[in-house]
Amino acid sequence: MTDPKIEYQWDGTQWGMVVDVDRCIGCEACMIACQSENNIPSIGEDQAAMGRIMDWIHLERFYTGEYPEVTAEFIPMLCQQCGNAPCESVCPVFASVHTTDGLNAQVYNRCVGTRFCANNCPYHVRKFNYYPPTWPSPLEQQLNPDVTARKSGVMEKCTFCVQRIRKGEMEARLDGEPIHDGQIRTACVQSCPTQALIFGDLNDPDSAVSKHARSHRAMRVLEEKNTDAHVIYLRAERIENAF
Amino acid sequence: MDITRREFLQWTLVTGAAVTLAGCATPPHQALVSQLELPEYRLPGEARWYASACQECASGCGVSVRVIDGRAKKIEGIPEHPVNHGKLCAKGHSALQALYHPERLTSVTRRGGQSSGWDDAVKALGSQLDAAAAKKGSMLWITRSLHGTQGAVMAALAERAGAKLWVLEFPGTVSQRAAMKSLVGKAELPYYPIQEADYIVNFGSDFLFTGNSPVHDAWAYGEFRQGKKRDRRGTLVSFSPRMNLTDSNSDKWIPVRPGSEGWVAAVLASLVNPSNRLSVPLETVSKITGVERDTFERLAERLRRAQRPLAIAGAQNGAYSNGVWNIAMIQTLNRTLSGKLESFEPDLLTQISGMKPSANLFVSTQEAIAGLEQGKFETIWVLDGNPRYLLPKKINFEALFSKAKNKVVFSNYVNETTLLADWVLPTQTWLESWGDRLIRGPFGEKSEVASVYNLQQPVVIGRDGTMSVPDILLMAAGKSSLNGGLGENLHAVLKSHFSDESEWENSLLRGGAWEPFSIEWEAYLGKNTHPLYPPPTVKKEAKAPSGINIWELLKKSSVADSGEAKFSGEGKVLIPFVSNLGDGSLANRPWMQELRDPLTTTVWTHWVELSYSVAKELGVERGDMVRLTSANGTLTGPAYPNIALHPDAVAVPVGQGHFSYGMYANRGENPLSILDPVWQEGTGELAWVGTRVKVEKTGDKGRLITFDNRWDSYPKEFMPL
Repeated sequence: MTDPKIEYQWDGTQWGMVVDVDRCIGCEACMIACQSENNIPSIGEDQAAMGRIMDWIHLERFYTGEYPEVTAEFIPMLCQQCGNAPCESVCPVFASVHTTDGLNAQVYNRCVGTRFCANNCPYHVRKFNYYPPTWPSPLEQQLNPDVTARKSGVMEKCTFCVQRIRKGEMEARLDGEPIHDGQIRTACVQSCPTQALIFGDLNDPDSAVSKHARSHRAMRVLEEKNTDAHVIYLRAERIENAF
Repeated sequence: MDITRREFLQWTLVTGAAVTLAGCATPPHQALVSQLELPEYRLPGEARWYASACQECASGCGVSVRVIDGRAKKIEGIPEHPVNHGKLCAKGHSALQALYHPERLTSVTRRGGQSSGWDDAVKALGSQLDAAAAKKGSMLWITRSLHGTQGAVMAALAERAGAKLWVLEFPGTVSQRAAMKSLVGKAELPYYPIQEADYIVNFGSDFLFTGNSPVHDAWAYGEFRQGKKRDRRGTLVSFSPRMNLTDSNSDKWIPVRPGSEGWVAAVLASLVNPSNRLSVPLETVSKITGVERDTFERLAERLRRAQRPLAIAGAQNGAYSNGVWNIAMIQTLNRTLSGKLESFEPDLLTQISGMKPSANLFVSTQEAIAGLEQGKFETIWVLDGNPRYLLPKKINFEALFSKAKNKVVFSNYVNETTLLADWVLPTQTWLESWGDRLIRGPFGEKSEVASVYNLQQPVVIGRDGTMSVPDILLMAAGKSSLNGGLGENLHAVLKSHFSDESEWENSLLRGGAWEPFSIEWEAYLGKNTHPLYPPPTVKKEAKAPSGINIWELLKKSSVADSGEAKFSGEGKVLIPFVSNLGDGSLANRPWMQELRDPLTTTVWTHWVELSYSVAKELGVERGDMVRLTSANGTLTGPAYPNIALHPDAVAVPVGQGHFSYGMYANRGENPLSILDPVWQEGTGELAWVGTRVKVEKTGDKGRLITFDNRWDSYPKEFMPL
């Protein structure tokens, strides 16, 4: 009998991200940077009221305490690029698959819109195109030609800006050099004013992400679900007695 | 239906021919880019990056814009730029939607719907300038704060035409400048070296989100918290009536009564250094602020122990009638803590103008409105902004504006003010036009950069039928008798600053220049011979004498000696605050409408924030409609009970409530419209937080779109909190 566990082939790279919650201020620059890079449509008030906003990365805000002893914390939430992804096992058409560099990929033209993956994702980060996206002319001129514009009936989510990864890989290959740490940055990482987001290869022990992942503050969100998430969070530090 | 192979082929040929014919009818400008006759800067499908400078706010971030086939695709920060360090905020990113907005104005329009050309418009502007020059003081220009050479061109032309400049902004920087002028004699903006501080007391300034330089300050905040070179994480404490985004990041937030932040600072200044004599007993201040005496004493003790303490004031502190006093007090605390006050200047023009320009060029809002009421202005040009949206209904801008004989509005889109104009002139965004800015301040990791010169260049060809405001003004000046020496267009004026062609090209490549400069400033600024530029000077503040008597200090200055915030009406203090839509001008960008408010997570609508206790008292739950009534109007909106709001206040975001700003913006209600005209002491500007309102439940349910409860079911120990 074959082992039901899927064996992935690794080529040595495991893309991952570190989110320093202590640095994150909740300014949402990452959200618009992502929207701009990845051709994410605006869906309008009525669809938003149904909770269908298409943001691939968003901020979760948590209040703690009661007035007047209130504090707040922001957690950027995006596809965790799970190694053991709950979305992959339920897709009947293999639209949600794993790549050899550890990305949790979504193949748009395989997707038939069952939405099983979104249902199974504990992080609420998969977004479904209920209607065809619209860009009233000439807004479409801003669309990034490196990224497919999705159609209705298709599930989408954060890709770790795979177009930037592939471009970086191609450039490195042409230069005949390895990809340097920090050479490839996703749109959100690039724009984050407080440098709360760091992107890189988790398999490289000297990369910035690996170093941060070994921090005493490092953790994964919903770790008990055993998703093997590749987005590592650094816990917020809060001083009990500020004065 | 059965189709034979022959029929299929016949149909294919017919359809193919039809498609080919249709293709021939394609207008040439829609055809594919010819690969034979390419402009040298364009390669099909190949990205080009152009360095420029963001003009969405006054900070002066350097940006690099990705352009493919002549279309701007993405805006990113310039990594080595000392202001933004390669980073960019949401507003800066969304400038693409201003550029490619489906509702942009593309032709000159005259009242009555007549279309007209630029020639007629420029001629009309020229004759208006001549008429104004013949009768000085009969022309009013309404604008946002002026920057760089484009601002200098405007100021120079306004001076020649005898026009008055009314800088109208929400929330504006006038109170901060006035406070700095009273303390250090310079009307510059305060600079806070957050990256160097170890203990910060913030007085409700939202410096991380809507401050004077939010991207720079957010970068500095990252260093303050987890900078690699730090021995320990910095601590942030906030005092404010409403927890804003910056306060929400503090280690401790302490609610205070609206308008009493200055008192907190004054008490701390007197406790930290007892020679700052405070004649008011601590108990009285405790009553005014609602903060316990013990809190003051413990915090003062902690501040004494801090190595590099810092107190931060912002536009939020200046929004009250006692705004200048508030900020002056906070800055006095700063000087008590560190012995110095640092400043930065994103707006070169203030070196010319100051708070009270020698040429008497600028008028305050109060003076402008008095002038409008007296019918002093025959010609009004609205160069930038939407005064009809920003001003309270009580001021009746509509009637005041209509008194003028000539009304010209320069705008990208139809808005509330353009509806009243005789001429509407379609303008360009900063991605299509030239400009620059000189920013002075202690930037850089070790505050080593003193001056940054930003050069803004068109990254794409301007939308058909539009022109940039400075170019329109220069053309109009050319048609009048006022142009002598101003230049033909802004590009020519900018280039004239550079004596060396290679330096001009370097600046175009880098997006400007910053220290260490390869050449001296004089070379950049044409050896200071250009009539528009004063010499840039950087002076470090002298150490303040110890033992300042706060009240004596303030008495000597122009700052009013009263620390009491005045509120008109009865009920709760209405706090109109800045969320994602800025001063309302971003409301027509779908990205910004759909970007959740960071704290309430609301999108696409306005809301009314009530404290938990007030909501409970009224029996109001989230989404219930409530009505706010001031002496001058009512506003209804869905309630958002806010856990972090002082019970003496209600808060409504500014931005919604447009009725003529396009398909994305025409929704919701505008809190500014129901404000009473309460004035700030010492500046003559509107006190945005000076109105009390009655709060009632209407009994209806409203639509409030929020996204903040999806993780409530998860235990918090599984989160990185």
